[in-house]
Amino acid sequence: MKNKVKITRLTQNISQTELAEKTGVSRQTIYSVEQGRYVPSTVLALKICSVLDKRVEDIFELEPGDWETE
Amino acid sequence: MKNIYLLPNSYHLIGWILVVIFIPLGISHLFWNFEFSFLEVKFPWREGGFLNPPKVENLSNELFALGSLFGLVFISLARLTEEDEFTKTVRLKSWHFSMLLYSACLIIAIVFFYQFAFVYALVFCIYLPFVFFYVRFKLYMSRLNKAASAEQINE
Repeated sequence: MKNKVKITRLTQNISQTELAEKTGVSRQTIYSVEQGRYVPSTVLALKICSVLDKRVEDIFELEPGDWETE
Repeated sequence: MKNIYLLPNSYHLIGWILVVIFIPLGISHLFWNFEFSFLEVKFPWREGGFLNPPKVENLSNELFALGSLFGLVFISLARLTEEDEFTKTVRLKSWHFSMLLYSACLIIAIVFFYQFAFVYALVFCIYLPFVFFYVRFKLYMSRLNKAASAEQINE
């Protein structure tokens, strides 16, 4: 899954720490989400989008590989 | 994943204190039969003899084993100062890794160790899941902290 959390955050001049505090998670979690290492839960994804004032579809995007079953 | 029970963060320090005290004592008991004489207890109601619990027993080995075990459990199950869904995912993956590595160690112990050496190997195997978990979890979180800090500085 791709995401535009970092780009959107930077354009709004919000730091990782600030976003982490507003969404109630650690800075490492936000970093991992931005790097694509961690897919956030629905609740966290909605919180991030709420803080960045964007729709979920504008921030998170499915990739072809996400449709494959393990 | 709100139903995962974790101990308060303060248990992390308590766990380390127990580990630092009891693991060296346990190793010294295992290899050099070190015991505290004041922990010798008599059980007059026991029959004693072959295959029966002894009438006189020193409880040092039980104390060292339990102290070490409690220490490792406290360290492994103490929550971080900042606990969230991501750390819980890392915990789960670390426990999975720990179980895989522990299974490999058991297989090695079963195949390559015999008689009393096998018993010694099993004694160490009691503690391995917690050690493997903690090392994996801490290494991952430490690398992540460094990478996240470096990115924060660069922004």
